[in-house]
Amino acid sequence: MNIVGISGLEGAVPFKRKHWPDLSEREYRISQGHDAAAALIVDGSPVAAAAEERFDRRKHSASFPANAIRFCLERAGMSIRDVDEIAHSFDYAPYRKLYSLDPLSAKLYREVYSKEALLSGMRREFPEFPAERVHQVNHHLAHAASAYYTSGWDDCLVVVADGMGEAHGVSIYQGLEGRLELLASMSALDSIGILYSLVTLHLGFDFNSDEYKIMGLAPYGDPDRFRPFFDDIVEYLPNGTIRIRILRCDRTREEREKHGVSRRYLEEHLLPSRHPDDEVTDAHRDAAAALQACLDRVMLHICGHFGKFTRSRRLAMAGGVALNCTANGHLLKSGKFDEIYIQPAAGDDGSALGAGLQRAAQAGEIHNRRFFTPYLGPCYSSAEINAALAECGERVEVCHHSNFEGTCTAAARLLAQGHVIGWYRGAMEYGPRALGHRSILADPGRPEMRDRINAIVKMREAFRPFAPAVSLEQVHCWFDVPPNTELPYMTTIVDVRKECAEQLPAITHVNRTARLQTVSCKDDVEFHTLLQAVGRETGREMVLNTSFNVKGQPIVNTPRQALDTFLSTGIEFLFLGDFQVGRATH
Amino acid sequence: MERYPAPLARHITDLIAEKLLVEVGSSEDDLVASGVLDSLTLVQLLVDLEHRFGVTIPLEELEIDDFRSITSIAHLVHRRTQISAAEPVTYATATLEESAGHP
Repeated sequence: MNIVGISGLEGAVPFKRKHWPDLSEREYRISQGHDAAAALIVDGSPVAAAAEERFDRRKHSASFPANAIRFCLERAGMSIRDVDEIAHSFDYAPYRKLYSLDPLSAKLYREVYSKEALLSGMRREFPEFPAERVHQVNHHLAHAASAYYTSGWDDCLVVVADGMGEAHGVSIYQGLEGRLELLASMSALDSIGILYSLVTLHLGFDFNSDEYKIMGLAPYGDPDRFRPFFDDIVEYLPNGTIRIRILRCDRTREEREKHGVSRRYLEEHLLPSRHPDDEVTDAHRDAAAALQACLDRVMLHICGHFGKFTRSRRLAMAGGVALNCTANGHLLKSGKFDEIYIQPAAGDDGSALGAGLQRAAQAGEIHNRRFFTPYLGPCYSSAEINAALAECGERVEVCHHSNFEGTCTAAARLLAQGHVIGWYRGAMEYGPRALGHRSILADPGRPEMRDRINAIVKMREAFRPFAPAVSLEQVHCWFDVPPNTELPYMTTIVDVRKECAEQLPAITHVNRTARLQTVSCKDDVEFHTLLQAVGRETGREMVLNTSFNVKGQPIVNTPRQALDTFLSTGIEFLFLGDFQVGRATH
Repeated sequence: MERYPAPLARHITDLIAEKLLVEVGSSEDDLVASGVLDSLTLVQLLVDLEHRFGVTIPLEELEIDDFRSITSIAHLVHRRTQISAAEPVTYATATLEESAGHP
């Protein structure tokens, strides 16, 4: 079967704007259905996937993923007529009666959550596709399927944690013999994801977007200063669930639309809110540290309890909270599990993959093989790169390397000399992390590199760390992990070895951790070859790897976008496939 | 309509106060009109009713009018428990928290 999984609720923000016109832009992000995406599953295997933002160039785009669907079909050489099913990663149908409580809820259901709302997008973009072949999958089940059916494990605990699905903030499943069984779920009124986002908003960052910045800020703070506050509002129940008192302060839909009451509670009992332009002070750092420590405890409590209950030593996770590398690192170090797998597109873009996989599993077509490094996005030919270069005319100087080894040698030399390069090669990554196909690379050994990259391209907050990509063969030489530890998705922090921290100033965070990506020859032979070439120049098979984008924009997709970003920033060289691009000097 | 046992309404009022952090003034207050119950809190209340009183109310069988007030919820819980129990029911207040170790 050919199944296209999709995510996103295109009506959610417009509905909120229409009915609550006086909210701030930041408050409109307190909504669902961002990160629209599409994933094509052919006979149980993912063959193409991408987020809509990479096409419409609106970060976290919630638009109906028509461009992403068309890309998936094109990559597989199909048309919409070849698709057996569309599977959407939200299913509000069981909750329909609950939304008939009052006229506004009923309207919200009708215009945003109902199958009819989904079908209106389908009819607009793919009018020939039969409505009866459009299916809906429970949101957390879709996330769980995205993790379980790409884990390669027959038996594991599956934990889904995000802001909220249809009604829940956390769901726990056991994956066994190809089936997912729901063990427990926690209401969105107890959502640790919503609490994390709320404090993120309170600290002057964006809800549903900037949580990773708080994670980066946390190690600068003292987690004990505000610990009593978080201990007071989060209750750890002996049955492995949690209760978050503060979220119940918002008692009506009106209050929940902007979490007015709970934010006032933060104002009165945690610390005054910070405006985005205000300076980040010790108090903000301490609040971030306490919040992160709270999340770490919550995830250990939930995963630890249900790991014990199911006697499972393997943990698979998805949902936006599963992108919190620090909490994942604590889980890894806790010894509660032998292996942890985070599905790399753990956010809502990945729920598109999960919706498709869940439907394929129901049809008995799933293979459950471990997800390779997720290069499922668009890939452009040399001819297309050439055409993009021609459009840039005399603004660039281009040198074409005759083979890939030559490209790697040239790039490695430039990195060793301290240059910042754009590295654009092969198919785009699925998920929020650039894993070596749409990346900006630099030498991790230079103390000034973090500030330099921020100054010339990223323009991001100085406190945020950059991540390393290291060859699998050398991972244990630089990081406190056993040899051959595979962490290929940049979703987990590990400790930098004490004796190595000084040699890796650009990727070592203030608490001597790093958000690691390991690269193996079997998963990505080309990126691995580059790291080996770098190793010959610097003695370290490692680069600083950050996403190829500028602040506020999605990661580049096409060669032309890569060139435009290169030309509009201070990136010094750009490698587009085997083309080495510099700025024209005349 | 068969009258429910007197303590039941109080148990439900206490449950809403404890779990949803809302003090309901009277057993006849309209919980929907006052905004106490919406899609999210109602899902939570269903879970809490199941844990506290052992009554399962599948979403597809749910009637909104059964949740208008404490009184109507008490009628619903009583009706459901009488259907599923051979013996007269005394309303146990064992909670999920007390059944530690099991989801």
